[in-house]
Amino acid sequence: MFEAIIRDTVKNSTPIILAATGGLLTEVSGWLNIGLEGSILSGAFFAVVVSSATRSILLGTLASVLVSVILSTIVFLTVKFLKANLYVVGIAVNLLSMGLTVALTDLWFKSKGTVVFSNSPRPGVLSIDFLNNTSLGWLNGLGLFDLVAIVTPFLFAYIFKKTVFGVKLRACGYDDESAFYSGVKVNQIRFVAYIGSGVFAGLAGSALSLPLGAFVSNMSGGRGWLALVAVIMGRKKPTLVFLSAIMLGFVTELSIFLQVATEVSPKLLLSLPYFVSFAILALSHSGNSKKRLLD
Amino acid sequence: MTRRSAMNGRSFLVMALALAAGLVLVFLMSEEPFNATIAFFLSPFSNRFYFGNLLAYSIPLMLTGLAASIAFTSSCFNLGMEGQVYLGALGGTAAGILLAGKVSGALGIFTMIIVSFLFGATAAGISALLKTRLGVNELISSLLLSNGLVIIVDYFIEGPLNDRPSGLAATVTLPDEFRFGGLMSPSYLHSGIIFSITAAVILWFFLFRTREGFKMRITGKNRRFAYYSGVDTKKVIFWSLFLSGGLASTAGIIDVIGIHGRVMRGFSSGYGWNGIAIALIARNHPLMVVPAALFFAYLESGAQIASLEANITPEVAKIVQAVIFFLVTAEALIPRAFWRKRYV
Repeated sequence: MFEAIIRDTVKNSTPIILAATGGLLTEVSGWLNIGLEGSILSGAFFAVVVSSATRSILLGTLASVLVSVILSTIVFLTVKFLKANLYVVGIAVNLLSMGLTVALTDLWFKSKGTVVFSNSPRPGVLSIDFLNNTSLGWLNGLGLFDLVAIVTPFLFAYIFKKTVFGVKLRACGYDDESAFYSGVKVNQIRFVAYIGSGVFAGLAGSALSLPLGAFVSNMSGGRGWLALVAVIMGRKKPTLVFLSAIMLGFVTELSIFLQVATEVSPKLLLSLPYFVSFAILALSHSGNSKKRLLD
Repeated sequence: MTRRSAMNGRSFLVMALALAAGLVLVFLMSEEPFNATIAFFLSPFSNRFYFGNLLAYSIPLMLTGLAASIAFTSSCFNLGMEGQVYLGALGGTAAGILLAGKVSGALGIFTMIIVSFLFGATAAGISALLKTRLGVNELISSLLLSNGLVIIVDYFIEGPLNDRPSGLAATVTLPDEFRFGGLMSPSYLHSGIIFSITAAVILWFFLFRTREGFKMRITGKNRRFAYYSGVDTKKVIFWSLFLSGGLASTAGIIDVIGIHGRVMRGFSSGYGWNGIAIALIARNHPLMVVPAALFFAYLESGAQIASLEANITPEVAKIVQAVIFFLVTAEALIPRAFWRKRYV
C-alpha cells in the first residue's frame, strides 16, 4: 500500500520533473520558456505515433525529443532574431501544439478524442527481485523515464555548481550584459539551454504517452504549467525544483486517490492540483514582500 | 517623438501572413482544395446567415480583446481569461435563474451583466492582489486559477444547475424576457453588439482622455518612472487586472443572453486566447479592437463553414491563430529602415 503510493507519486511526477528540469535550464539562462505545455503535448503525440509505426521505443522517444527541440528552437529564434515577446511566443507554441495534434489525429486517424496504438511497444519496467520486501521496494515497477527523472535534477545541481558551462549559464541569468562583456557568448549559451529544454520536454511527452500506448487529445493536461510552478517555486535550485515537482505530483496522485476513496464528486477533485499549486505558489512568495516594492 | 499609428504595418503584415498560412493549410489538408478555399475565405460573406453569424461571433471577442488590452496597457498578462469568461457566464446565468419572474427584463439583464462582471473581476483581482502584495507572477497564477475554475464551472453545469430533462451538458434556460432581441434573423446576431462597441468607446475614453487612464498607460510604459512620479503603481495594476477580469466575464454572459440562453459545457473555449491575440493585433488600442475582433471572427467562421462544407478540421483556425501569436510581437519583422520616421 505504502509502496504503491510512493511508486504512483513518482510516476505522476515524472513528466512534471522532466519538464521542470527543462524549464529550469531556460529560467537559469534568464529567458523562461513558457511553451513547455505545448512541447510536452507535441512530444507525446509524435512519440506514440512513431513508436507504433516503427515498433521501436527508442525511435519514438527520439522523434518526440526532435519535435520538442524544433519547437523550442523556433521560440528561441523568433525571440532572438525577430525580437518577439518571449511570453507571447511561448503561448503560440502551446496553441500550435493543441491545434496541430488534434488536426493531425483527425487527418491521419480520423478521430478527435483518444487514439489507441495497440501495436506500440511499452517501455519495460524495473524488477529486481532482492529489492522486494526492503525499503526500496517501490523502485520495482518504475520505468526508464522515471529513473531518468529522479537522477537528472541532481546531475543539474552538479552542472550548475561545478562546471564552466553551469557558471556561464547562471551568469547569463543574473546579468546578461555583464556576462556578455566578460566574454560569455550569451546567445550561444541560451540557445543550448533552449535545446536542453526541448530535449527534456520531449522526454516528458514520451513518459506520458509511451507507457499508455495511446494519445488522448490535450493529454498534457496542464503538466507543463505545473512544471512552470515547480520552476518558479524552486528559485533556480535544481533540488528545490525537484522537491516542488514531486510535491505537485503527489497532489495529482492525491486527487486521483480521493476520487476512488471518497464520496466527493470526481469532477471537483480534478481541480485540486490547480488550486493547491496556486496556494503553494502564493505561500512560497509570502515573506519576501518587502523586497518587491516596484515589481 | 515619432508618431505611431495604433495599428501599424506589422499588424497588417501579420494578418496577411496568417491568411496565407490558412490558405496553405487548407490546400494541404483538403481533398478538394478549391472548394475548401472558397468555403474558407468567401463563404462568410456569401449570405445573410453566415455574415450575421460572423458579426455575432465578434461580439464576445471584442470584449475579451478589450479585457486583454487593458491588462496589457499596464504591462500585465491576464492569461486567466478562459476561466473568467466561463465563470462570468455561469455567475450571470445563475443570477438570471434566481431572478426569473421577479423583475422586468431590462433590470434582469442589467443585474446579470453586473453579477457576471463581479465574478470575473474577483477571480482576476485575486491574482492581482497576489502580484501586488506578494510579488507572485500574475501570468502563472491567473492561468492556474482559471484552469481550476473551468473544472468547477463544468461541475456546476453538470451537477446543481443542470437542465436534467434535456439530457444536455447545459444549465437551465433563461426566461425569454432576459434575452436580447435578434437583429438579422435567421442569423444569431443580437443587440449585444451595441454593448460591445459602447464598451470599446468607453474604454478608449477612459484610457486616453482621463487622468486614471493616463496613470495606467504610464505605469505600463515604465513602472519605475510612474512610481517615482507619484503614481500608486500597485493600485493601478490591481484595477487594471480587476477591470480586465470583469470585461472578460461580460463576454461570457453576453453570449449567453444573446445566443444560447444557457451555459453549455465548453461554449466559450478559445475566447480568452483569441482575446489576447486581438489585443496584440490592435496594439492595445480599444477602438482598433473592434476591427481586429471582426478579423478573428472571420477566420473562425471561415474555418467552421469550411469544416461543414469541405470536410476540413476547424482546428485550422487554431493553427492560424498560433501563427499570429508567433509573429505579432516580432519587432524586427519589418526592418526599421523600411519605415521613414516622421517627427512631429
